Amino acid sequence: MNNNPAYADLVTGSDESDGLRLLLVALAGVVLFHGGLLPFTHGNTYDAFIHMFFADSYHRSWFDTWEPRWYTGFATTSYPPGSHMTIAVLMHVMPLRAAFVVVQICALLLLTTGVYRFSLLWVTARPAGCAAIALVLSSSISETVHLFGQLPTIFSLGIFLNGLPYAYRWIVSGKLTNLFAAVIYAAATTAVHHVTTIFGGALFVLPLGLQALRASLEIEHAKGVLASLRALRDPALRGFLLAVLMIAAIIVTVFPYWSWSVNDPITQVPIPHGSRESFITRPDLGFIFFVLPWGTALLLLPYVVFKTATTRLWPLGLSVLVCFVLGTGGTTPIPRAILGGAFDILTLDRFTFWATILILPFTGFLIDGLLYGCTGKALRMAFGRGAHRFIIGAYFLTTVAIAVFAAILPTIQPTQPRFIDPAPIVQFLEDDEHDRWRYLTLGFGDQFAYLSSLTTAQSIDGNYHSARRLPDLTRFSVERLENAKFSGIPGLGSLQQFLINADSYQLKYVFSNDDFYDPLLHFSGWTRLNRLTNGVAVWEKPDVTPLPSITPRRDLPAVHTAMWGTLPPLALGLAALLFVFSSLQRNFGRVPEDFRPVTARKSDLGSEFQLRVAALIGVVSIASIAVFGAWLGIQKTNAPMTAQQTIEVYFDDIDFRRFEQAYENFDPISRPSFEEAMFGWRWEGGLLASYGKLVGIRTNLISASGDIAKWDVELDWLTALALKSETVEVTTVKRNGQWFIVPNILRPVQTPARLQRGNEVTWNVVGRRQPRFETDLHRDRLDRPRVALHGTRLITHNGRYSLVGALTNADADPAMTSLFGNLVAGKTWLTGNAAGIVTEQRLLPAETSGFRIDFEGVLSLEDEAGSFDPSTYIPPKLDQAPTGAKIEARALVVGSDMYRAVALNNLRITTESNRPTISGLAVNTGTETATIVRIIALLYDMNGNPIWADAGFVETNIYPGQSAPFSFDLPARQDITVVEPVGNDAIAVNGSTQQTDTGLPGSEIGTIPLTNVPGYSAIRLHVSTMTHDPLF
Amino acid sequence: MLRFAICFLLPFPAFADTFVSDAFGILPQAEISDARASWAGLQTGSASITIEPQAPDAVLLFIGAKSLVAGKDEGHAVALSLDEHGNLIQDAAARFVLETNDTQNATMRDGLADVFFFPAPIAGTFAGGADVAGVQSARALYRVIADLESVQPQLASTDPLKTENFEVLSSEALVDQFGNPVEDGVGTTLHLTHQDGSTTQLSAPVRETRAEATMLVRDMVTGGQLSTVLGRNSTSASVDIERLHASGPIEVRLWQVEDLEAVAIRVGPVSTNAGHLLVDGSPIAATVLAGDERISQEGWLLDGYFETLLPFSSVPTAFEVTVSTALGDQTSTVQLSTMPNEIRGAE
Repeated sequence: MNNNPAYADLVTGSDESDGLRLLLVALAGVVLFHGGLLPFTHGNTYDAFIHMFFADSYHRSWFDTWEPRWYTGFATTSYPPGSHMTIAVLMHVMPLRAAFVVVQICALLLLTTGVYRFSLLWVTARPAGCAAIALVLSSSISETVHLFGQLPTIFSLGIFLNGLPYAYRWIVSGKLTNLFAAVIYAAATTAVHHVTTIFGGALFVLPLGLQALRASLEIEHAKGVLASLRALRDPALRGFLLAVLMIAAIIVTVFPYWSWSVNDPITQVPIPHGSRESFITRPDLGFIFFVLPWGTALLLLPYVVFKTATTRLWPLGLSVLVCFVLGTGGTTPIPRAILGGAFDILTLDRFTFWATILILPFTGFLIDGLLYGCTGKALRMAFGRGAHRFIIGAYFLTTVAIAVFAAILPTIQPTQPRFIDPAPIVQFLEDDEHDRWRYLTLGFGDQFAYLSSLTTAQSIDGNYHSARRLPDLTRFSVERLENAKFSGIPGLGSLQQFLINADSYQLKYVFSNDDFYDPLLHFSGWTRLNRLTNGVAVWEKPDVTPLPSITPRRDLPAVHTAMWGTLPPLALGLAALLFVFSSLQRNFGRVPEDFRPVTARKSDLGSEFQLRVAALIGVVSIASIAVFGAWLGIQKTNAPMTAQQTIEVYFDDIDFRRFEQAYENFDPISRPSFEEAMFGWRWEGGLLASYGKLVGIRTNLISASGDIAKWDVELDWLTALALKSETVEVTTVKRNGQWFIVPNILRPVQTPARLQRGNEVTWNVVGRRQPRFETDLHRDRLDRPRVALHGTRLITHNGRYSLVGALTNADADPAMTSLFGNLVAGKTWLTGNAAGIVTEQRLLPAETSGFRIDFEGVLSLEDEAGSFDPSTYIPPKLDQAPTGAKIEARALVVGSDMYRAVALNNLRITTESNRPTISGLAVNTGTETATIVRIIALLYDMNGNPIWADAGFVETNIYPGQSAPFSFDLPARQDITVVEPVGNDAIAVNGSTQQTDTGLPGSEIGTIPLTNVPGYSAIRLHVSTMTHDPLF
Repeated sequence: MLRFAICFLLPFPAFADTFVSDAFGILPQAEISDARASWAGLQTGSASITIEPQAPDAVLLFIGAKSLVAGKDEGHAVALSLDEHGNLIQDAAARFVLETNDTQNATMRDGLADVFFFPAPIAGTFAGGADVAGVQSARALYRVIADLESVQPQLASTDPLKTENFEVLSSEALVDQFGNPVEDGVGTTLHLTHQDGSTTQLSAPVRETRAEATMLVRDMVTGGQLSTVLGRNSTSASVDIERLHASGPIEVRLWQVEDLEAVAIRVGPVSTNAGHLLVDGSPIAATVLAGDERISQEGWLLDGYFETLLPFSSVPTAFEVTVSTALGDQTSTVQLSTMPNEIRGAE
C-alpha cells in the first residue's frame, strides 16, 4: 500500500482542515477577483449578450419556445435553457445584466467547489484545495469568463464536477442515493449545456470509472484473473447502469432539443473558427486559443507526463493529453484524424479549456509538494531557501499576471466595437410604429444581442447561428450579417441579398455603426435618415411592406413545450438541493469512509547534484532555444527586400493605416516630407481608400533598367459593393542595395473659384411631420409618382438570366423607385429578385436610366466545398427554363440624395475583342464633396433596344472643383442572348398599368452613339452620387 | 399521474361563448364596446339588426391624381361622408367646389360621391372642397403641372468656354404648349459632342424655369455640338472652347542622375499667349528618343514645369524630345546638360 495508500491512511485531520481552508480562500478569491471584474468585463465579451437575450426570452414568456426577434423566428429549444432560465428568474428582482453577473459568479463558485471535490477523488485534501486556488488563478477561466463570456460552459462544468463524487461512490460502493444524485447532477448539467455532459462523459467520467474499478479491485484484494473479474463484475455493472441512466437523463432533460436537432438538422456551411486553424501559420489565433488559456499550466505538461507514467493518476493524465492534442486545432493533422467530420463543427478551444480543468489535480499536487512536500524540500536543499521562495513566488506571480492579462485583454486590445448606448435605438424602434418592420444592425459586434433583448422589434439577423434556417443565411459560411465584412465576399454577398430584397423580409431599418457599409446601403436604395445620439446612423428603405399582424411560427407539440419549461429547472432545482444538503454536511459532504486510493508521495526526490544538473540542463535548453529564435528573427528582419516585397509591404502599410512605415518605403532622395505624403494619401479617399480593404496584390514588371524598375501593380480591394480591382503604376529605385518606391504625385489641378456659389433645388416631403396625431386621414400621403419601364427584355449573359431595360421617371416629382423581377414559364412562377446596384433608385423628373435585375440561385453545400471563388455564379434552381418574365415597379416621392453636379468630361469608348470600355474624367462642379460616384451604363443593340446595363464606380472621392478618372468594361454583344421581350401586359407600375407625363426617350435621344462597337448602337449614361461624410 | 400533471400544466382554455361579427372581425359579445356596438352593419346572434347611420358629421375629400398634366389629365375628386360613429352615409347630395372648374354636384353612393373634372391648362396648385348636407370638408389641394412632353428645350447662346473655368450653361425658359413653366427640379441632360470624338455629359436640373448646369472645362481641347435633352425632346447648338497657344518654344533640359542609371528630364516653363503659365494639372507627355531607345512619360504640369526620370540603360548625350500639351506638340533635339541650379539649390 505504500504506493497506493488508501485515503484514510494518508489523510490526517489537519490535511482535511487545510484543504477546506484553501477551498474557502479559493471561494473568496472568486468573489474578489472575478466578482470584482465581471461587472466591467462582461460587456466586452463575445457570448454574454447572447445568453442575456435567451434569458430575456424566457423572462418574457417562460413556456413560449418560439422567438420571433431573430432570423424571422427560431426555436429556443435549439439551446439548453438552464443558465438562461436561472437569469430569467433573477430578472424578477434585478436588471438583466446584473442577473447575468450574479449567475456567472455563482457558476464560478460552483465550479470551484466542483474542482475541489473532483480533485479529492485523485489527491488528498490539501492538494485539492491548492487545485481550487489554481482554478481561480487559471488564465483559461479568466479568458472563458472575461473574454468569451461563456456562462453555460462554466455553469455546467461546475454542476458536473460536483456530481462526479456520487458517480464514483456508486461504482465503488453502490447505494441508490449515490446513483440518484449522480443522475440528477447529469440531468442538471445537461439542462445547462449538453456538450459538457457528452464530452465530460468521455473525458472526466471514463478516467474516473477506471479509477473506481481499480479501487474496487483493491478493496477486494483480488488475486488472479478470475478473482479480479469477479471483483469487477458488480462495479462494472453499476457503471454500466449509471451510463445508461445518465444517457437517459441527457436525452429526457432536453428532449425538445434533441427532437429539434433530428427534425431540423443544421444544413449550413461550416463556419470557420480560429480554433481549427494552424497555430503556426496563425500565431495570433494560437495565442488566443492555446497559449493564453494554458498559461503557466503549459509548463506543467512534462510533470503530467511524468506522473501519468509513474502514478495511479494515469487515466486522468491521458485525458489531459488527449485534450491537449485536440486543442491544437489544425496545427497538426491529429485532431482531424481523431474527430473526423466533427472537426469542422466543434470549436476546439473547448478541449483546451477542459484540459486546463483536468490538469488541476496535478497542479494542486505539485503546488502542495512545492510548499510542503519533498519537491520543496529538495529545492531548498539544492538551491537554498531563497531560490525556493523565488521559484514559488515567480510561478504564483506569473500565473496571476497571465490571469489578469486574460481578463483585461478586451480592454487592452478591444475585440468589440465601442460601447453603443442601446437606449436611442430602442426609443427609435418604439416611436412611430417603427417596430412594424424588421431591422438590421451593422458593426455592433455582440452588442446586437443586448439591443435585441431590450426591444420587441424583430431583426432579420441573429447572434446564434446554429438556429438559422433561412437558406439565404445558411448558404454562406457567414456567422452573421452584422459583421459581414469580416467574411469577405461571401459575407458581403449575403448581406447584399438582404439589403436588395429588403421588401421580402419586411426589412426597413438599418442601424449602422460602421461606415464601411455606406456605399452598399446608398447604392442599393437605402436612405440615411439621421444619426442618433449614440453615433449610430439610421438608414431606411422606403416602400417596404410592414410585417403582417400574424407572422408564421413553428409550434412545438404541447408535451415538448411542457417538458422544456419544467424538466430543466426541475433538474437544476434538485441538483441545487443536493448541493446545499451536501455542503451543509460535515467536511463539506465528503464521506470519510469512502475508499479513495490517492497518489502517494515519495519521501525524497534524488540527490542535490542530480537536481542541480537537471536544473542546469533545463535552463541551458530554454536559453538556447530563445537565442536561436532571436537569431532567426534578426536574420529575417535584416534581409533586404526585393522590389516586389517593398511594393507589397508599402501597400500593406497603407491598407492598415501605418503611414509612418509606409513613408519609410519611399525613395529617400526624391520623397516629399512626411506631411506632404500624408496630404496625398488623405486627399484621395473614396470607395477604395476609405471604404475598401486590400485583399490581394499582384505585381507585373513593365520595364527594368539597372536600378529603376517600373511595375503595374494590381490591387484587389474588398468594398461593400464588390471586389474591385485597381491597377496602379509604381516605379521602384534601388539605392545602396535596397529598393524604394518613387512616390506618385497628385494631379495638381486647382479649383477655379475661391468661393463657389450653388443654386440647388431642394425638396421637403412633409410626411407625418405635422402637428396632428391621426395617421388615417391620408394627409401625409402622396400619390406614387409615375414611372415607366421601356424596352425591358429577359436576356442571358454567361448563362445568367437578367432583366434589362430603361426606367424613366415620367412624373413631375423626383421618385425613389423599386423594381421586382420574376421569371415565369407560361403561367408558372419560377423565381423572383429585386433590382440591386445596377439600378438608379433616385430619379429626377424626366430622367432615364438603365436597370438590370439579376437572378441568382442558392448556393448548395456541395457548391460551397473548397475555397470561395468570387466569380462563382450559381444559377437559380428552376423547374423549367423560363420563357418570359414579369416585372413590377413601385415609386415614392423622394426629396434627398439628388446631387447631380458631377459631370463626365472627355468620355471615350474604346473596344477590345468587341468589348467596349468606357473611360473619362468625373468632374465635381457643385459645392458638395462627391464621396462615391456611380455611373450606370445602358447599352442599346443595333435595333435601338436596351440589351445590357452595368454600373461603374469612380474609385476616389471628388472635392468640389476637382476631378477623378474612371474606366469600366462592358461585355461584348455576342455574349448576350435575348430570351424574350417583356410586354406591357407583364409590367405593373404602382399596381396598375403604367402611365407617363413625358414621352419615353429611345436610343437616339440623350445617348452617345457607338459607331465602332460591334452589336451596339448607343450608350446611355446616368450619374448619381453619395455625398455624405467622406471618410479616409 | 403523469398524464394529469401534463394536462395540468398545459394552458389550453376551452369554453363556450356568444360571439358577434362585424366587418372588422369576430369577438365575444361581452367585449363589444359601446362605440363598436354603434357601427353600422353589426350583426349579433342569429337575428340580423341593421343600424342606420346618423346625420353626416364629417366629410373627407380626396383629389387626384397627384399632379395633373395640363391639357391632358382628368382629375378625380372623391368625397366620403361619415356620421359621428364613423359610419358611411348611405345617400345624400354632395357638392364639389373646385378652384379650376365650376361647382359640380353628385349623389353619395354607399358613402362615396365622386366627380371627374378637366382642369383648365394652367399650371399651379389649386384648392377644392366638398359639402354634404351642410357639412364641409377640409381643403384638399391638387396640382396642375406643365405638359413636359410638349416642352422643346433650347440652349441659350453662350460665349466660347474658357479652359479650367466654371462655365454656366443654361437653356432658354422651358415652357409647354400652353405657356406653363416647367417646375424646378425636372431633370434635363446636356451632351457636348467634341470635334475630337470625345463627349461631355452634364446633368442640368431645371431652376427657375431654365435648365442649368455648371461645366468645368477640363481636359477639353475642342468645342462641338451641345444637345439639350428633356424626355424625348432634344435640340442642339454649337459651342466653342477658347484655345490657348504657346508663347514660345518650351524649354527642355536633361541631366544624368547621381547613383542611378537614369536621366532626369525637366520640361518648362510652359507659357501661354494669355500671359500666364499653362494651368497646374494640365496633362503633358514627353517622348524621348535616344539611339534605339524610346521612353515615354506622362504627367501633369506643376507651376509650369514637368519633371521625371527616364531609365535609359546607357546614358547618351543627345536626345530627340517630343512634348505634347494642350498647346500642341513640340519636337526638339536636346543635349545632355547639368542639373538646373534652382533644383541643385533646393537640394
